[in-house]
Amino acid sequence: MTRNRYEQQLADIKSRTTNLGNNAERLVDLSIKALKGQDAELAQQVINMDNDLDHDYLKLEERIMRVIAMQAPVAGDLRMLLTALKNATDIERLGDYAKDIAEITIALKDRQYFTPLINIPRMAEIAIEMVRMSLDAFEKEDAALAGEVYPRDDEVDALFSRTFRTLTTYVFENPGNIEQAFNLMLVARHLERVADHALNIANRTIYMEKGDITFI
Amino acid sequence: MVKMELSGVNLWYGDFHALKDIDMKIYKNKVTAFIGPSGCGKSTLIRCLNRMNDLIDHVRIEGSISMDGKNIYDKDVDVVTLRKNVGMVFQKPNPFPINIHDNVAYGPRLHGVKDKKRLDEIVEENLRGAALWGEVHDILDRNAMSLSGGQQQRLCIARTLAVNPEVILFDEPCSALDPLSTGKIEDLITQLKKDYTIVIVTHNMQQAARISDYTGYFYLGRLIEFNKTKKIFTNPDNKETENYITGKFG
Repeated sequence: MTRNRYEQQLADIKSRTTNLGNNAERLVDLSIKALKGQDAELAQQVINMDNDLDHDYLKLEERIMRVIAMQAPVAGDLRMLLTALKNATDIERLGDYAKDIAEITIALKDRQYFTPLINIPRMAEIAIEMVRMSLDAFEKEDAALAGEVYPRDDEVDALFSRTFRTLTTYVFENPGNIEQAFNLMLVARHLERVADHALNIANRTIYMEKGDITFI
Repeated sequence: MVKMELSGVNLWYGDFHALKDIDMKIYKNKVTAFIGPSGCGKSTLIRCLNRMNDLIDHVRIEGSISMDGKNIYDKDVDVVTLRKNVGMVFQKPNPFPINIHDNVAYGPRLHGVKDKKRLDEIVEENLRGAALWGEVHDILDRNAMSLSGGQQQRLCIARTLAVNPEVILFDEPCSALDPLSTGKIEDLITQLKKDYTIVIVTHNMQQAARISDYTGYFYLGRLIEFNKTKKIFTNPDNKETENYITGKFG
């Protein structure tokens, strides 16, 4: 093996991207825990942690740019770096959604929920699992595993529609529920987007491995 | 459109089997790059394209190399005419130790152009073609050896162009040049492909990526992969090619 330093840089970028993803995944998970438990303190922690995530994201982007500039990567190496760069953007968005959910938790902290949260945590569970799978696929360079992420998105979409119908019913029953229903609807929408970003990561991983991409 | 076609080319230097079963097409008005580690056969192969290997003892060649459908190794082929049609530029600039004008006029004179005015036209035309005219038009009587390395290399290109070749072979034309001169030669090659078919041997992977349309990767005398350059550098079909171009080879 030649170009040892370069090899190290590539491995380093891959593991930093995966770590960033793991942190973002944890933030989404914590934001839903805070929402369920109406835990404003935990929500505040999520907001603070998102700042760190943004910082790490920028540092990672800079590293990737540096390797591209200094090492002139081609072929599989270049595809990995571009995938890491694109994934980093998706991952950063995951942190933003967690932060938004945390802000909603803080806004709703003194109100009693008009309904126990069931569909939203279920959505979160699947969306987070999708993130987990797509990050694993990226780390293990496993296009087949990335392909398994797709069908899970249908489950999230179905739960999103169900949440929409349920929340609409509550608004009809009592217009006083509007603010809370809107906020919970936003949470559902964010989780639906989390799943979409997981799909992007899966898509890019397939590109990294096979060199072509088809969006589903 | 195919300009040259190699089919089942094998070459031996004495007992050493240097090229093994090479099949490939050289496309007209395209730049084809040969890459591979030292000793892989790429320079040997480029020298087959204008029968430069005929000059080396104990060389045996099998298979066929055709240009416009005619095998250049046929007995009735005039090697001098072939080398006029398939010009070559070498790694080290090798201008003749005479003045700039006569370097370019040398070939046309040899091929029978006598008229001084016509020779002057040819000199200007080809120095322009080699992107050197602007730098030397007022010092044409100066000895070519006084030029910089990059200028000497462009003079050699002008000298090659002056005999109206159809194919130009470049054997690592920039390996002795600085980045600026390299940039000029690369721009020039990109312009020249409008009128000529170009084959280049290079050790500089990024140079192959920048200027070629097709790339052949050679290893131990075999053509491992021949593909469009953009394919080779983004998603090569062969793992060995990928290991070489990403520098993981060895």
